[in-house]
Amino acid sequence: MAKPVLIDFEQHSKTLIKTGRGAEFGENVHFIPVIADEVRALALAYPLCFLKDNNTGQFGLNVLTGFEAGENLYLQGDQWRTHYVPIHLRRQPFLVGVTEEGAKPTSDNTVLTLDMDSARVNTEQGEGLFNEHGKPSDYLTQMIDLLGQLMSGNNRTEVFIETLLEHDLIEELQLSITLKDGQQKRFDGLYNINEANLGALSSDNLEAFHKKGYLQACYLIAASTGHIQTLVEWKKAAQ
Amino acid sequence: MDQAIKSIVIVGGGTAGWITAGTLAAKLQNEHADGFKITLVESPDVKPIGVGEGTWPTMRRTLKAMGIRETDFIRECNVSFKQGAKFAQWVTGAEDDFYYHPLVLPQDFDSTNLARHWMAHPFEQSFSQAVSPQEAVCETGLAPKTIATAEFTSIINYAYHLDAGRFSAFLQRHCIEKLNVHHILDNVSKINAAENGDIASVSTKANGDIAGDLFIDCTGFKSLLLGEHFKVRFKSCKDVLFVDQALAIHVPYDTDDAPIASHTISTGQSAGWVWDIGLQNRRGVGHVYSSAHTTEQRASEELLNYIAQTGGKVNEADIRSIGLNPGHRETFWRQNCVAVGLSAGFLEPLEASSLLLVEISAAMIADQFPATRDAMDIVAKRFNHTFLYRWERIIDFLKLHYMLSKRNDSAFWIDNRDTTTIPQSLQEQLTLWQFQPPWHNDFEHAVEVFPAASYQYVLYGMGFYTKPNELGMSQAYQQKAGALRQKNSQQVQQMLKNLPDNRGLINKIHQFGMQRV
Repeated sequence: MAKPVLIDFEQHSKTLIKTGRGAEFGENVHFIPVIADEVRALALAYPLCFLKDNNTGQFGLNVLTGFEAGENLYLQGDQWRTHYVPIHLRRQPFLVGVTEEGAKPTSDNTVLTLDMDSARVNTEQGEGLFNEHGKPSDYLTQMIDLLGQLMSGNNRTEVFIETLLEHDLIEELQLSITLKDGQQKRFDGLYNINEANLGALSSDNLEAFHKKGYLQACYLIAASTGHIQTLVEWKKAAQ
Repeated sequence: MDQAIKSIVIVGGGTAGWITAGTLAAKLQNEHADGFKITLVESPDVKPIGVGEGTWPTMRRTLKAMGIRETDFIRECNVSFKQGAKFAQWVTGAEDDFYYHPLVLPQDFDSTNLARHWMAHPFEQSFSQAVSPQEAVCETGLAPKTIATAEFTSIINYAYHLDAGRFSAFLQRHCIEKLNVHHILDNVSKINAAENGDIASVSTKANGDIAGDLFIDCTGFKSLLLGEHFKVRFKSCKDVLFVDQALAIHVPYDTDDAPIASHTISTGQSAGWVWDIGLQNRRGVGHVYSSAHTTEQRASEELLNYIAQTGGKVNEADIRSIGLNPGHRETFWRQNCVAVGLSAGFLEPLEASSLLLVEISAAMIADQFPATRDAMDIVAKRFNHTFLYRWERIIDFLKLHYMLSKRNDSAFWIDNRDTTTIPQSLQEQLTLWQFQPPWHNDFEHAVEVFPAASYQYVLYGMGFYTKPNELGMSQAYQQKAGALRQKNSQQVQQMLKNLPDNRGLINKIHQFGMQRV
């Protein structure tokens, strides 16, 4: 369970953060939420998809990293298989806390918090949060910046997804894979871009999409599905 | 005449008028460029009947075809999910006497008849418990899907409970704003005949004469066009189904967050039965009874008693009395006029058939929409033939509920078993079913209103005995049936684990809406 606390020099002068990769930090997950701003970098190495939140039915943008719970095919020990790591992992163990209950996070009503329950938080090794003068370290400054990106990125991604839904541009993916022993597995609940409807957008909508960067994002997301085949190969190799 | 049929005039609003308008408009819009016109003229003074709040699963398709979002429908029409009907105190009248008619077919119903297997050990589980997971889901008050399930799709089959008044208004808005239906709010003062006996136009108080090629009578019990103008005779079926009066009332919940039932509850009374439909913010409860077997006073007492026993508080003065005439017109389509809804006929709401008949009437008119006046005569003949059959089968199926009862605590129940009150067609089926369970080819048409499965649910729910076949059961059959019943138990476990409760899901739908995909 997360235990977010506000960060201050008094409490956290000795706190160190382990910044490596690994299952011990909870990174053995089979999908990772991402923001639309990352799409260009992600599309080169990950299959992007939309998944529904089971509690709200709302769509979120994610990358698929495995085929079953606990399986992250990008994580090999303490090494990450590709160059780009999604912000959602890189910003841990920090979270954005909202000061107004139930309000949408903006730069005015949010604070940076640290999840004290995270395995990254310790006093022996890693990056410090403050320099000797009590000022935020370079590391902490970077994290603050990253979380700012994430927050505004989340809002932008929500608007992006709403627009896609308005134009019927999201459809369910029929995914079934064949594993090493010939076993066929079918997956429900994965969604991607409806390319037929994308191709049929009116010129007005097309122009609006292009100007907002949506058009590019749509094609990149659609094309990224090809990476699923890579994941299948990685899984077969590991079996 | 090869005059093209382009202009449709629907007389009367309510759920019949607007479902018909929406279904026709959506179909014609999809298939034809333009050139057709749909006008609905309704009286500002005549109120719709205001009851009729249970649907069939077909309503999902009907709404989707009109381009309606399930999210909007649920948010605006006080809708809840219906997964079947629970019949309480219909068999013996004891407190714990009940059976379910769910909306899901028995396991593998396409090819396996589980009835025989169940009958070998009928006391282990009730029939509906053994062959479908829906009874368990309903008894637990769970919803048929989750917030992540796409609109109009299900995890387990479902229909709706809805607020009739809000539903008409909702459909009206949608038809006018999205489907180009022309709306005239005015009273029809006269019906003008053409030379050949067709209706040429209807005269209105302030909007002149409204001419049309096809007229649809949705004027309710009044049956202004078919019954009054064309004088098509009404064929009563009170000799079969005795119920001819209703007392209806709305019952509030104790709290905003009260649980919502997953099914319609029908509870047998001394001379009729009480319906109980749970919407989002209130219940719709009513007592339908036979005036030949009890008085309004007694019927009202029974209704109030039921409400008190089920934890409701009402004002006796709010009870509405509605006279019913069970039966239907001898034909439904005369000349260029077809009746849809109460104008065509009425049967007690025991299996929520009224709205279904509206849907399938509108669907048939849309599917077979006559291109010319000559074609219309042929379509009309088929429509009449099909719907006469449908009404008769519905009457049979409703009567089945009564003739299988074992109650003898009042004349109503005893009289219902008198063979002179049982249609020949039904008697013949029951004779057959004494020796073999209902199966697909027992029924004439490819598409039946009540499939064989529905008959199984009622027969075996009410304790009907089908003699085991002397040829016994093959190993293969026993194994298959055993496996299917195992599968059923597993599905029950899964569903009880994964499905939310109705109130919880409805709250989420208000908060988040549902996805179209």
